[in-house]
Amino acid sequence: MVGVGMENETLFDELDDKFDARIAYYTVQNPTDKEGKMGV
Amino acid sequence: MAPFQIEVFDRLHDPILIGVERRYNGEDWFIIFDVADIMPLHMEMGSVGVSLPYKLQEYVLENIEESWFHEDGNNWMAVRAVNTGYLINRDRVVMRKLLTPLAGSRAHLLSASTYQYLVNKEGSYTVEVGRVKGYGVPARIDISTLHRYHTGIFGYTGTGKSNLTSNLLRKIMDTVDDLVAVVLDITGEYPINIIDMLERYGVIYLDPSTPIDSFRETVVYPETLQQRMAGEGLDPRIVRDILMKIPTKKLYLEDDEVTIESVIGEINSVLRDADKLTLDGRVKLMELVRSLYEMDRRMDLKTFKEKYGDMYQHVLDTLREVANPLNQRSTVRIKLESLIALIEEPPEQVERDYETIRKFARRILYHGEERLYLLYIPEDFLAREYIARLIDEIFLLKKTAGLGRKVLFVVDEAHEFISRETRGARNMDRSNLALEKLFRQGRKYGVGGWIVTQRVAHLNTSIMQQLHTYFVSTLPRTYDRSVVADAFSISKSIIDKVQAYDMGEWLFMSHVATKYKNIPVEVRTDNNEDYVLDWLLSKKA
Ligand SMILES: Nc1ncnc2c1ncn2[C@@H]1O[C@H](COP(=O)(O)OP(=O)(O)O)[C@@H](O)[C@H]1O
Ligand SMILES: [Mg+2]
Repeated sequence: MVGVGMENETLFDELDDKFDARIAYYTVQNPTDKEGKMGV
Repeated sequence: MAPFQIEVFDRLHDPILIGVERRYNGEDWFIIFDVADIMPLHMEMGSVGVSLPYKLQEYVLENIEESWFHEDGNNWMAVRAVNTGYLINRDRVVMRKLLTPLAGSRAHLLSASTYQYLVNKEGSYTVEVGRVKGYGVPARIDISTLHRYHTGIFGYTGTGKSNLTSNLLRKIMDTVDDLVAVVLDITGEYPINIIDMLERYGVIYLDPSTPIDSFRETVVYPETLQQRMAGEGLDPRIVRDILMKIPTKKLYLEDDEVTIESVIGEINSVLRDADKLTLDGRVKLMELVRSLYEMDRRMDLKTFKEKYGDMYQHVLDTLREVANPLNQRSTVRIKLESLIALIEEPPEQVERDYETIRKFARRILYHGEERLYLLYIPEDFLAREYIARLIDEIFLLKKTAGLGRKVLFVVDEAHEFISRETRGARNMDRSNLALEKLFRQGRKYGVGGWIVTQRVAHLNTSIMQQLHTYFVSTLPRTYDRSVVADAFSISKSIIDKVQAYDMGEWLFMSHVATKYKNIPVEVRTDNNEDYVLDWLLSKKA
């Protein structure tokens, strides 16, 4: 299932080093509207 | 908690996916989220309020002002994001699973290549629909699904719906080469929007009240294109000259052809006066109708005579047998005699510069090198009747005479055809019914539909439910947005993003066109006018 030509590319964006986030809360409003908030 | 980071903060304004770490069944996964909105926060913000003395407020705010650009540890950002329902791991294995993230788990920004990996569907029908906002990489989708399943394009007036429609149409016609398209136009903007395709393989149909010459003079140009043409020194007459070369016909609703169906109709009307017939005559006629029903009822009588001589002779003989015993002057006898005369001397089929719906439908399915039919009918109630009749005819033919070619119906200003508000709008019932049939049964018969409109609120919901792919641009009314969100199960937080969209920017979601279904794709599409302008310039050269 690994895509062709993907080997050298990373999963994360370059900016991810500067994004030090964690999940703060997660609410479920309706089955299709699940959202979470992350604080940095 | 970690410092607010202005570079990341700014990047988060454009679409970006986030992966939240999650152990699941003993393996490391990332839950994929789509960012909905962000908010910058500072520790001291909470203390600033109307009751705080001005001097203190100023002191605090000055502190905050500086903080954003220095990492002083007192500010942070809140990111609200929506669960896409997918997991991915470091080997890019993707799994569909709506998993709840756990508080405290780390979140990561996913890369452009990860995004493309999730969205882009490679194959022989893959085309680039535009560039992904934020990531700037191409969004590549399977365009054939836009015909095999149905598609909706929604946005406020002027957001670029007709532009996108023309653009997508060009892409699908270039890619799916056995596809035929019927474009229903009531505003007169398509002759120019798709002029290149019309010139290559198109025919224009007008309702009988639109004079062909004046039609060519009254083609509607997008204002921007007109200005750009003037800027390039392109004389608008070039458009008229090209239109002159495109076959243009009038389309009639009435049928003027004598077919087996007409014969059946006549016999049935005789049978309604059954008391004037002998019992033997009645039975003979009923049997005749039954055997005629087994034939291709659309066949004209000349073909009938040439190809099915025995049956043709049998019809004539039977009619004579029934007519002869009757009184010379009885109306039934006169009716039968004139029917016999008609069958004996079938009228010649002549080539005319007009066509009936019936012939038109046959042409769409079975004939010709033409692939694009533009139906320009400015009168909305007439347009509703035309489209209803045409769809009925296409389905009847597909069911009785053979599937023929694949057809895509493009219905711009769709609220004029599939509104639930049928009161006062002539023929709205008919167009609703016909289009419902198209959207419900189309897949089985190779008929696809695109509906394009700015008014989503009152659209026929059973048609909305049949859409597998949709493009949404700015919709100023909350109600319209909530209708779209409900109809397609998109999170309200995601749909609200379209409010900030510029012309040519679209939220695109699909059950079928992307690699993993329903990953929201925010794209900037090419401007159709660029293409048309270049094409016109190449014609001039
Ligand atoms: N992809 C695009 N890029 C740039 N400009 C666009 C794009 N799509 C549309 N426009 C501009 O928006 C205007 C309105 O487009 P149109 O397709 O007629 O909108 P609608 O059908 O939604 O009313 C056009 O004149 C065009 O200049
Ligand atoms: Mg339009």
